[in-house]
Amino acid sequence: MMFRIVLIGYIVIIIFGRALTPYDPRTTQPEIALQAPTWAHPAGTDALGRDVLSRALHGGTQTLTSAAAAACLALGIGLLVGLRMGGTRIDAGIDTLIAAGLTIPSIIVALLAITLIGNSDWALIIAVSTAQIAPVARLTRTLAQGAARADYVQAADALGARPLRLLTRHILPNIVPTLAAYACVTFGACIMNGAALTFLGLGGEIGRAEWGAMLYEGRQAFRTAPWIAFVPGIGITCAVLLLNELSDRLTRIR
Amino acid sequence: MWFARRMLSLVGALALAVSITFVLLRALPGDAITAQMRISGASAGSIAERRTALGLDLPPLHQYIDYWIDAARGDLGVSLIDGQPVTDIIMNQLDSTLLLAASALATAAAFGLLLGCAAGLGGFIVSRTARIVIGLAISVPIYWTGTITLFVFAAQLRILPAIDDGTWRGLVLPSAVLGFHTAGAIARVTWATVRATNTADFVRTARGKGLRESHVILSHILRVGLPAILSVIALQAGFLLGGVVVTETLFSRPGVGRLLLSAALGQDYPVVQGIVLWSAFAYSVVQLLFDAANWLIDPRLRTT
Amino acid sequence: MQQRKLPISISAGIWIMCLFGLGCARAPLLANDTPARHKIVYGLTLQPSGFDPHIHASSELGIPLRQVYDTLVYRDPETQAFVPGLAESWTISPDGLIYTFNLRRDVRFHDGTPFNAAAVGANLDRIVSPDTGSLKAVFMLGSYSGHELVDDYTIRLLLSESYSPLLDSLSQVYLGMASPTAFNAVSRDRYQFHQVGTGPFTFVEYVPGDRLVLRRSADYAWAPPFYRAALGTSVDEVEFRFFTESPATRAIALESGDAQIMGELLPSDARVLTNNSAIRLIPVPVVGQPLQFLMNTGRYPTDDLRVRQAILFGTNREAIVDAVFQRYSPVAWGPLSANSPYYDRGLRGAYAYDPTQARALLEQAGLTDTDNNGFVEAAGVEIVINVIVPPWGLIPEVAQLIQDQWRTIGLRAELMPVPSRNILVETVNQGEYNLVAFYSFGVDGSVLNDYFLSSGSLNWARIGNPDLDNWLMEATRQTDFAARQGLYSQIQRLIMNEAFILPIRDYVNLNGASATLDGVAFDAYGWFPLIPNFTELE
Repeated sequence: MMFRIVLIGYIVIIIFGRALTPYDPRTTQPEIALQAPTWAHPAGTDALGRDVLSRALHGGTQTLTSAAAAACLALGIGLLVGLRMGGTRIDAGIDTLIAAGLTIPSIIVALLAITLIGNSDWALIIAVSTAQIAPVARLTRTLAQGAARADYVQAADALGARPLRLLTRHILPNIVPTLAAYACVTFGACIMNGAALTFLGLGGEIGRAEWGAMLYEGRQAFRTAPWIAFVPGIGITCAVLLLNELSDRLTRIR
Repeated sequence: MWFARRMLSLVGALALAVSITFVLLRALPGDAITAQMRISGASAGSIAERRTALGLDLPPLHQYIDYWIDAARGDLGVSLIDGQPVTDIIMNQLDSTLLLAASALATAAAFGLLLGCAAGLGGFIVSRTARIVIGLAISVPIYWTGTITLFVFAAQLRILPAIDDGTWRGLVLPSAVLGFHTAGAIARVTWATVRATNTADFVRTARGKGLRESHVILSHILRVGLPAILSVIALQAGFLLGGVVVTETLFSRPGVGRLLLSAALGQDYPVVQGIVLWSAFAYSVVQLLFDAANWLIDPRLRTT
Repeated sequence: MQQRKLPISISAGIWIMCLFGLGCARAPLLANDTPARHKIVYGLTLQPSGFDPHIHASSELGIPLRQVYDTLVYRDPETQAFVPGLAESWTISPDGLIYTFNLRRDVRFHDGTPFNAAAVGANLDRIVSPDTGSLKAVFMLGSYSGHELVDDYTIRLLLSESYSPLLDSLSQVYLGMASPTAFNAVSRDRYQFHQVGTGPFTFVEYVPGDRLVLRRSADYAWAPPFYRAALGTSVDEVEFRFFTESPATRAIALESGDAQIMGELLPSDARVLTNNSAIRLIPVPVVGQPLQFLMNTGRYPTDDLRVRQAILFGTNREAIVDAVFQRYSPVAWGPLSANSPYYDRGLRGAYAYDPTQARALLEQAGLTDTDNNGFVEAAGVEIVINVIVPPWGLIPEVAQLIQDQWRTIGLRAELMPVPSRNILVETVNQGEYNLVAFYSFGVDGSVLNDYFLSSGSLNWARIGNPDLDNWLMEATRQTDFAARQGLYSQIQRLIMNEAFILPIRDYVNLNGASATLDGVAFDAYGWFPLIPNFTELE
């Protein structure tokens, strides 16, 4: 019950919070830069005098949707690639591809995405998700391999069940719990990778009120203004914790 | 036979990784020296001359073939900027990377397993706390944890150095911080696997037989869930060996991650390709080791 | 039932053993015979791709290497005038094509090789050789075409046309004199690990990514006048460590005592350190171009002078210097910083913040806000100013502030972040920008050439102004200082009248040094420390 309240509260804040903020997240007021939290600015102001709370509320949707998009992309493609081999025969070729994919540095992919698409949000999403595809595929493969060895699967196979049926009735249900758990990690990793790429200047538009970017700015000023990173930090941590709990509960329904 | 197949796969992975990197790098406009020469005031003519001397204006296919011919002889090329052999450049950074990777992985594996078991098997308070810690490990950016620990331990308490001073003390903070965050992914998977296995019949039987709880956990639950957990550990090992640029930057440690970043931004192709080769190699070796470990613990795999 | 040891413990055991082995292998390197009595750690903020001054271009390498190499001439740190270095005296022919240097006779390289005209010749040959692949030094020689050895201690440098920045180039570490024995003994990529000069410090070792170590030379007897003689408390060993791209941790390293001195601190960190009595803040202005945005005169709407002037009037530079640089930097008024010997004081206050004037100019240019959305349009099409924003020097913060400031005059700015210098150059090549932030440092006025000559390699404002071309070329040929000052004055005024740039602030390097370090001083260029003068207070 408690969990449901918190989850719904969080979603409401993310979606509607931006309407509650009196300040434009982009308006700079250098005169009041780096001010500690006050009633007028409950989360303080940042290095350019912008209201931290407003920025954080505006940035929430953006951060979460970008990370979700990247995570879904990675999970979808990774699952497809991983299942293809694990469920049927071991395809050494795909195995090699995954191993190779794991070692391509995401920095290079990010640079290329930026060059081709421009330094925009989509470039970031693509760069971030590419880094996660191979790990998902790898995990899927190991799990699917394990699941495929179960006696009942071998039995079904011997009975002539079609691969698709094997997949959906037997293998998938066994790997979903662990994969769902890993989905949380992937989501968290997407947020983190996004922030890290922002750190390197590969993070799309600058000055956006995006949590990863705010965390980075907050780090620059953490000696003089630790409050800058507080709200976005809480936002990210809450999101991940809620997602953990959610995936937990979903997988218990079996 | 299985071994031979794995070796082939390893070589294939190396070749593929480097090839993809090769293509991606050449798809980017510009090169290692043009920008700097323009900033130094060089004429278009001198720039063109220098590019030719470095072989940068050869058709990409030509460059690709040359690269593999040289690589087969052990020559990974030289830096486009000053001619240092790529093998030297990478070797300089390698021992620091290996050291950090080893200590961080040990920390991560131990901590991750512990946390995961606590979360999946512990009582209400223990389990909740463990899950919050896991959440923090995956959601707090490492540059934050790193900055705060540096501030507390190096600047305020002054008990640990802020930079790598060549002794074990310089290793404590970076491997602790890196280990903590790497533990997150490991813990998460451990937790899920343990929880799923915990309800299985054979576990209930084991408990019903009166076996010690620690024995149940180690020999029954973890043993069965190990392949998935090991898979994640292997993954993290691969990442760590490939260099962790943020950690290296934060704690001012030499390492392959920092090298990769500067070489990639500087478009020093041979160095980037060399690092990707190393990463692919390190990852494949780790994979081999963990597959062997898997083979040892899971009797079912031996029947294939 | 057999109890199998879990492989995980075996794996862990293997890792721990590796850890031990590598830990032992990484023992501290061999110390020299006599332990240094006064050793400091100097923090560098960039890991350059290499440390050979004849090849590489980073100013970071000059920080350690300025102590290892002497140059033919030096600039006095106070007066910026040229003083003798390895050359006791020099003459310049009236046509400016022949520079004759009379060298000191008492100089030896750290490896014992005698310093003479042949050595200077060998250095110049190395710098211009295509095999060396110099990325900066060779271009600093300008129209240099060769040398003549007159006798053992006299050398003539020949130019194909008059090039007055030559002395300035010869006073910089990139044209430092290295031992020919040393660089001929190794391949070109190895020399950076075994460098030998004539300077006050000897090169001990360079471990890439880790450290660069220098030790005081006992035999240094040919110092320029501004180097203090060695005292008992003088710093005699320096270890340079690389604190790369984490400005936030620079201050931490100073506070933890892991570094005794470091530059390029963030203004906000510098503020915090002023409260720390164990650390002194030493702001040092660097001479050259200020942080500026070049305005693309070849692209709409910045092809219109009125729009460019509106941009200048519409940017509140005082506010930027206040907010982003915490008042550590002065506002810049022109293309050269105020401490440049060629700076024209008459430019102070040009284009002071005046949003009303800015709006009026935009109207004159035909840009008005017809649909009342807060931003101006022309013929119904919204105006967008594209700004290329590199990640260094706090430029992203400056850009965000500017973007917001321009909203009051109705200009919409779109910021285009570029992650590296290479990508910045490529983005400029593509041409779709109105403003780009870029600047160089240097004491000689010729630092403007690449930017403002129509044939300049950095002419990103796409200028083609014959007057500017003539004056810049003339100033480069002209050897008389007063005449050059006059020319550069005209040049600066023209640049500001035509509003080719938006200058923001003069660069001030914020150094932090331990309070136990005394005598901390920097050279005429601002970047390079005069470490021979550093002493440690007991």
